[in-house]
Amino acid sequence: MKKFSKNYLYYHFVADIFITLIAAFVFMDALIVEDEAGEMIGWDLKALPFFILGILAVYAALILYRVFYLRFASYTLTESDVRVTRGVFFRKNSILEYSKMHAINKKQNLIQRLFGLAVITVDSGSTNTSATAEILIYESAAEADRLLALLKAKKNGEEISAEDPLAAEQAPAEQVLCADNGELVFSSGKKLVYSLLNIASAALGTLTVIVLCLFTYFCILPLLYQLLLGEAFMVLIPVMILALIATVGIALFTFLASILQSFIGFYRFRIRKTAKDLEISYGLLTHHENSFGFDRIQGIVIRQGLIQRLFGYATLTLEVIGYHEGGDEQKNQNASMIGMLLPLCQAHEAADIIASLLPAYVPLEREARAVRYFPFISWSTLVIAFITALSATLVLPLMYFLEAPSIALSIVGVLLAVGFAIAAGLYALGALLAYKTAGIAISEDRITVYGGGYQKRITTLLRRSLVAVEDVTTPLRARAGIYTLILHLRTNALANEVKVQMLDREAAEKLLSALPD
Amino acid sequence: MKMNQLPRKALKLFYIRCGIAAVAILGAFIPAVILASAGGARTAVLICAGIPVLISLAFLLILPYYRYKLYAYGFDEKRIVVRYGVIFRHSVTIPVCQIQDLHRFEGPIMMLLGLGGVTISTAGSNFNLACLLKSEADLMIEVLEGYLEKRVEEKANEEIQ
Repeated sequence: MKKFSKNYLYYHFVADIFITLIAAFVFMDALIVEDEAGEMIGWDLKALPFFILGILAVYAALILYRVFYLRFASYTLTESDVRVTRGVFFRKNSILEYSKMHAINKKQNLIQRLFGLAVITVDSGSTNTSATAEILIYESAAEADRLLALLKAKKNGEEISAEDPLAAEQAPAEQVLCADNGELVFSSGKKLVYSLLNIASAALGTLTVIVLCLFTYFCILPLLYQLLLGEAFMVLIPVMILALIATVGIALFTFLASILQSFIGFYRFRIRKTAKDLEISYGLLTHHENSFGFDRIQGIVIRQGLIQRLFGYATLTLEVIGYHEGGDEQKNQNASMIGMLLPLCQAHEAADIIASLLPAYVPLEREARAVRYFPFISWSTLVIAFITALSATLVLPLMYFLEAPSIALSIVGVLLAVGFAIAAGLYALGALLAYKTAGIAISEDRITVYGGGYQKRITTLLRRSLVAVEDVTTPLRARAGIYTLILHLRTNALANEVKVQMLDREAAEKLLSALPD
Repeated sequence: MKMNQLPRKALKLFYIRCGIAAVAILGAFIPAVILASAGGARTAVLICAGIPVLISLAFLLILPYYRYKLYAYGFDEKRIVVRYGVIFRHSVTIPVCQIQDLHRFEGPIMMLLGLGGVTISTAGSNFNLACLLKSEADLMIEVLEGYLEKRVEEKANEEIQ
């Protein structure tokens, strides 16, 4: 059994200072002395030593945990599998056969790099490990490279020297897409465009909030002042100003994050294709090296947000077994990066790029389209109408019983109607885009599904990846011969469905017959 | 493929579950009315909360029957088909060769009624066949396992050829 690198401990000596400082900042409130009006008048110096002791205790506890973690953690590479034991309070023993390894990744953030530490994660593609990998090993950077090469070789069933696996890895890759070889590259220019497109998307949202705030300030508040609340409406002004400041702040943060993500997050973006793997590496502060076996890739998605679509760009992502590519949990953020194939390319060159990397996943030309527009909008309109009617049923009688003036009742009614119209309008536009996009194409070996409203998605998957097909309909749609089908893929529990909407009977039956026997 | 209906006991189970939900709704609504009466806003609360509560109760009364009536399942050597849903009708087709494992599950009320469910795990999704009789669930698992073994054998032979 081999122990994790001691660099893990040195790294946490520094990293845990940040965690302790955050804890200190959160609990600093306990030191503040306030007067009766709640104004700060000074610091409680008597409590300061206890506070410092408490913070030191937090740091000591964290370090103690790391010491025990390091003491109990170990790993070993046997003839047939990799075994890892880790955990302090809950011990976890993971055994993963080499033949079942799916993705092998190496990750280093800036502080880890300073301490020569790297994290190796290995994922089996199990449905239960969609957010975190089963195998996690902390090793020194040099040892991590050796381990990475050794694991890749074991996964591919290659015979290499355990002492010097890196020598075997020097064999030339079939194809390397990096800064040195031509067009298929995520160049600085493309990074700039990528940042600008993200900024434009964020700006669109910011603009919407600002317009809403201004509308509230100039139209709704004066009416409320006149008719209903009197001076009480004054309390809404600071709330609105805070909302405006928060929106602008979030927008600025998004702008900055977008630029940092493009130039630092995707620093030295490389895609390397070997005989059995696709290796993607990038990142300055946190360096990722992700390796995917071709047999584990289940599909490729070409995504186009509204702004990207306007300017003819697209993002390529992989649907792979085991990792979710769009989660909202913090844990899943790394996973979302792992599914990235190419952050930005011209939409018209997407097929060529896919052909050069994974020819089996080149999208097919759309054969069948959505047959009707109305079903796209019908249920959403009904739901919005129901919510509006319910709101009116709840609010208007309440106002009546509270003896609000009749003109106030009329204004609230009108506002509800305007809200309904805006929401229904946005849904109608989304539905129109979805109607124009929706479709499917099926060939001997693969299926391409066209879908999405404001965000267009073209998903290409192999027929053998289909594990089930679900037909969702209503009695009316069934009578009209309109079919919506959900394709269940052999990926993970969080991202295993692709929906194709409003097809005719012929296309639906063709898709059902595409299921493997 | 012959499609089967759920056993009659499943309807009882659906009604019991909806009954529990109805009790929970009324448990929130009645104290709200009592509190509102003390505050002099009884009529307003009766109207505002009463309408959604009535709609929910009506749904809870009707839903189990239609859920039971419209639920159907069937399987043969190659496919499993499950049809369910009242407003949105779902029809799931699962190839037998894609089954990874099969589980039987029972909740406390299901145990009382002698019912069991079957979970069909594929590589990526789980599909539940709710509320069969325990004996039916066991038989289904046994038969599907047989089909699966046969299919795996056939596939292996195809690959060798």
